[in-house]
Amino acid sequence: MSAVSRMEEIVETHAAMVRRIASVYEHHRDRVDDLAQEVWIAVWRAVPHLQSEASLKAYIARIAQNVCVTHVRRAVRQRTEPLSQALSDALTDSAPPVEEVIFQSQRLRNLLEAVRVLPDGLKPVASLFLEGLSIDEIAVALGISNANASVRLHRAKAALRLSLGDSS
Amino acid sequence: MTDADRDDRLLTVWQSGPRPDTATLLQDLARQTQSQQRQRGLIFALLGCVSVLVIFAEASGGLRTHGFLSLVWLTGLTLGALRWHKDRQTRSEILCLDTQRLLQVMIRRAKRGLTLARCLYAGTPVGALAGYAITQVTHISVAGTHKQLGLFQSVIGAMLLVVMIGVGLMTARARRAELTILTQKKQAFEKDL
Repeated sequence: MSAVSRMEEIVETHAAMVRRIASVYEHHRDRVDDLAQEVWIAVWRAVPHLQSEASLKAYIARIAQNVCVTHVRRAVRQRTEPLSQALSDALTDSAPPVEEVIFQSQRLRNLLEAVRVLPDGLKPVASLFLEGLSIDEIAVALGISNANASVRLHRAKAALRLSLGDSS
Repeated sequence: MTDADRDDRLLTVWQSGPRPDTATLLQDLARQTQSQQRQRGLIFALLGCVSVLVIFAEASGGLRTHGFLSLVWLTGLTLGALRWHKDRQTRSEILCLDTQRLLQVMIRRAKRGLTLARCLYAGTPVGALAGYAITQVTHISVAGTHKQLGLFQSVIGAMLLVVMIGVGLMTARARRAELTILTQKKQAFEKDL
C-alpha cells in the first residue's frame, strides 16, 4: 500500500475523532478546521515511524491531543463567537431528519460545552476518555501514572455529570 | 442506571456527531507543504543575498578582511542550516511524546527562541556598532576610490540591520506570549497531580 493510500485510509477512519478533539480547544469552525489540519500534518510526518498498527487510534489521539494542547498561536484571541453557528454548520451536512439533528445537536452541544469548561488538567483526560481510550492509553498519552489518570477521570466524569445533570 | 451505563451514554453522544468532509484534506495538506517549502525558499534566498553582499564587500576590496568575514558568515549559515534540518526531523517525534514532556520541550524551545530573538534585536545593533568601531580603529575598510559603492553597501547594510531588529522585536513578542501560555498550561496540567 502506498503512503498516500495508507494516509487516505487513516484519514477516513479517524477524521471524526481528530475533529472532535480539535473542537474541545477551539470554538469557531474555521479555527477547528485549521487546528485539525495541523494535527493531520503532524500525523502525516509521524505515521511512518509508527511501530504497531494496533495502537494507531491511541497514537493519533495522542498526537491530536498534543497539537491541541500546545497550539498557542490563537490562544490569546478572545473566544466570543457563539457555538451555535459552528455546530449548525457541521450538522447540516448530515442526512438525518431535522428533529434528530436538533436533538443530537442539543445533547452534543451541551456535552461539548461541558468538556470545554473543564479545568486544563481534566480536559485532556475527558476528551481521550470520550474517544474510547482506556485508562492505560490515557496515562501513556498524558505522561501520568494509571492511578493519576483514574483519579482525574473520576473528577472529570463528576464535573461532566454536574454540568449535564444526571437526568440527561 | 449504573456508572458504566452513564459512561456508555456519554461516549455514544460524543461520538454521534457527523463525520467531517475529508475529500479535500489531502490536497490541502499538499498545498500546505508547498506553501511551507516556498517560505523556506524565501528565507534561504534572503540569507543568500546577505551572503552575496558579504562576499562582494570583501571581494571588491571594500573590507581588508581577506575573506575572513565571508568564511565566518558561510560557516554560520551552514551550521544553522544543519541545525534547522535536524530540528525538522525531530519535530514529528516530539509530538509523539506524552503531553507533560511535550510541554516541557516546547517551553525550552520557546525560551531558546526568545534568547535568539533578543540576540537579533539587541545584539545586531551592538554588533554593527562594534564592527564599525573596529573598522575605524584597525582601518580595514578601504575608502576613497569607491565612495558610491561604499555608500551603497552602507545603505543596504543599514536596511538589513533595521529589518533584523524589527524581526527580532516581533519574534521576541511572539515567543514571550507563547512562553507565558505554555507555562500556564503546564502549571494547570500539573496542578491536579
